[in-house]
Amino acid sequence: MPLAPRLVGQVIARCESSLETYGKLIVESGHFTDDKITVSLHTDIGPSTTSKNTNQDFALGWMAHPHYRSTLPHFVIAAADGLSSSRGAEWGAMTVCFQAVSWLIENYRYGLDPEELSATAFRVAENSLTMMADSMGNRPHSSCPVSDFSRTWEHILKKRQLLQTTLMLCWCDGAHFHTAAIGDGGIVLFPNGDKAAGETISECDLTTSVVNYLGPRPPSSGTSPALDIYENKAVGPLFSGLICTDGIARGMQNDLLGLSEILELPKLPENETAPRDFITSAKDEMGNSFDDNLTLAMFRVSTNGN
Amino acid sequence: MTREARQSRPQLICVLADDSRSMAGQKAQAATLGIQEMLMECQAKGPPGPRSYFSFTLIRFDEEILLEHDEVPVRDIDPDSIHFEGGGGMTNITEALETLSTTLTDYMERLQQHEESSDHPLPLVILFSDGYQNIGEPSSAIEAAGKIKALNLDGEHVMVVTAGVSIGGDRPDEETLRAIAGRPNWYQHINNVTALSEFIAKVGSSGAASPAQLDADMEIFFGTGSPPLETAETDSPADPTSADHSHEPGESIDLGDLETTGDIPLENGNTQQPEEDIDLADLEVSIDTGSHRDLEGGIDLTDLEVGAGSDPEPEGAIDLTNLEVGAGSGPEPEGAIDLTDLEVGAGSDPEPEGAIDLTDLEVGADIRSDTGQDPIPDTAIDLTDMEVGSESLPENGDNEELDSEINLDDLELT
Repeated sequence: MPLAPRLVGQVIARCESSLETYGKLIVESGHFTDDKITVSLHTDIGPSTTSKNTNQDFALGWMAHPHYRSTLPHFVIAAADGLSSSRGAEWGAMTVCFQAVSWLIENYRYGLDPEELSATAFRVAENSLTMMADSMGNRPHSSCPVSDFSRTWEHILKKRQLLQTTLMLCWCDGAHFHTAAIGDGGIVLFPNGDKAAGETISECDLTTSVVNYLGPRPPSSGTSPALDIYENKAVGPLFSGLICTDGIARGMQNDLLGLSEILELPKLPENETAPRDFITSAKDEMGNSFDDNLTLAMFRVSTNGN
Repeated sequence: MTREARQSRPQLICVLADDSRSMAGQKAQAATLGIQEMLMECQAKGPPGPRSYFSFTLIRFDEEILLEHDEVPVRDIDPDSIHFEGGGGMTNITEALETLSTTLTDYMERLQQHEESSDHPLPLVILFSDGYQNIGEPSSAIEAAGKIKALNLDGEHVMVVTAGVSIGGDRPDEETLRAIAGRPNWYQHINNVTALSEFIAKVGSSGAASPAQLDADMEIFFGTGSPPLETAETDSPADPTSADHSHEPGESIDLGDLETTGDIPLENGNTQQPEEDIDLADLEVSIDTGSHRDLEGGIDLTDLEVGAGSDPEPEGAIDLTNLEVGAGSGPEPEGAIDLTDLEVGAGSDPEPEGAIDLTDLEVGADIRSDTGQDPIPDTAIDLTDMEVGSESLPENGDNEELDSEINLDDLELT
């Protein structure tokens, strides 16, 4: 898709510039830690036996510089799962993560209601995909992927079956943990310390491959869907949690609290590569169960020195 | 056990296409379009790259059998390379089925050894024909089909869907085709070209990987009991002048509204031969996607047009021979029609290009010279630059009177 990388590159370059002004970025894999916050994430194509030859998941982490934390979210995590039935979904996943996070950061200061803020961030992200699809549709020959026949590509453009993706967006403002999602994904939060009970805010529907998505859609499909999930949870001085896409959830048979135990969230600050290590083990030892793109993000916040 | 096509376990779609002479013309073009649409839809599914969710076997049959593609990944096939003409003389369904039986037997043996065999989709066979088998006995075709249907994976049998194409007076051997189909509801009677394209495209790209899924898909596509795919007219294309042929975008297809211009009578009273007249070059069948696994909604035929090439007139030419101008000449066009650049060609008339044949032109009371006495109607036709050749005027002397009353430079027709 010669045109798609250029279009995505333009979006990402603009978003990166904005995000790096106010904080640090983790793109696809990595971690950051300071004396209060640890965020680590990793996304992977999956085991060698996987049916996919492209990683259509994407993950992005952003942590505000300490001196911006009074006016900006302390950290934001975005994870997206491109629809395998949609062409260029990996570009869509990448775009919505960057676009939604940067819009959130740039507009956070205006004091919008958090749910409205997140809903607008999702709409902005979808608009980016729609504009990219329109741009490619206007230039079908230059946007045609090398591997596609031109007529097939025109068929895809006409049906607008491209760039479609889910999106999960989580951020913390110090006192509350906000989650918003379109499409499925797994989110677990331990809002009150390592020893208190955790709760599954979102889990994947493993019985169907039909999910809501962001992206261009044919006129007959109507308007963009509302948020599938919006949660605003009060958190204590010590809280932690994880976010994963359906590849991880399927491998764990949706037992996300069990996954939290395996990952040992309290030890995240000392074991910053836990998501990468877990995914590596899952691929090597349980490739048949974790037979998909795999994305996992973990976070732990301690403002009381624990 | 959930059978589902993936890159690691692509579904084999086998199409057995009747390419006998009786299929020539619109039916062959509809079959071409249907298979092209099926391929494009299958190619569109799944992540980018050469690994397809589907592979494709194509056998075309007349008196000879041509194994055109054999287990080829769909992304390796250029949709434009598919083309049917209907050139053969006979219909040999039996040998087509036996050829497929041979290749499928080998394929199924390999499938048994596949590491994901329990999740592997079953092959889907689509056969369509518009005639009776005239080489060998029909029972031999049923017998050959029986071998295919006996092939199975974990007790689930290869799925065989058939269609009898009854267009333009041809009658398929429905009894045999029904017997060949894997289940009663896996047979479809088809009596118009759009339905044929639609049948191939929808069933072939359904992704139905097991008999239960195919049952559900046939129900979704064709309704309870899979009634015939019929238009308001059965054997002849619909009258292009009748009814409202418009479709809302995204609206499910109403096959009764299919616009087909194949049977427009020529001036000599003959009906055009369908195989020569229907141009399906611009016909498009799009499948909406969504709730049904990768498919959503119904077929969108908003932009479908069958016709175009059926007009023997030169492109852009308008035959005004029977044009009636004036009161009672039909519904008014909405808004003004600018005919400034209109080329009025000779068409089938002997008149030189650019001339208008006014032989049968009825000039009604509503036409006035540019006196300004009559209000200008909203639905005016601007014929400012229309060229009227003197040779085309009737030779009865009325032409002088006509010229004196009508200023053709500013002629407006209501």
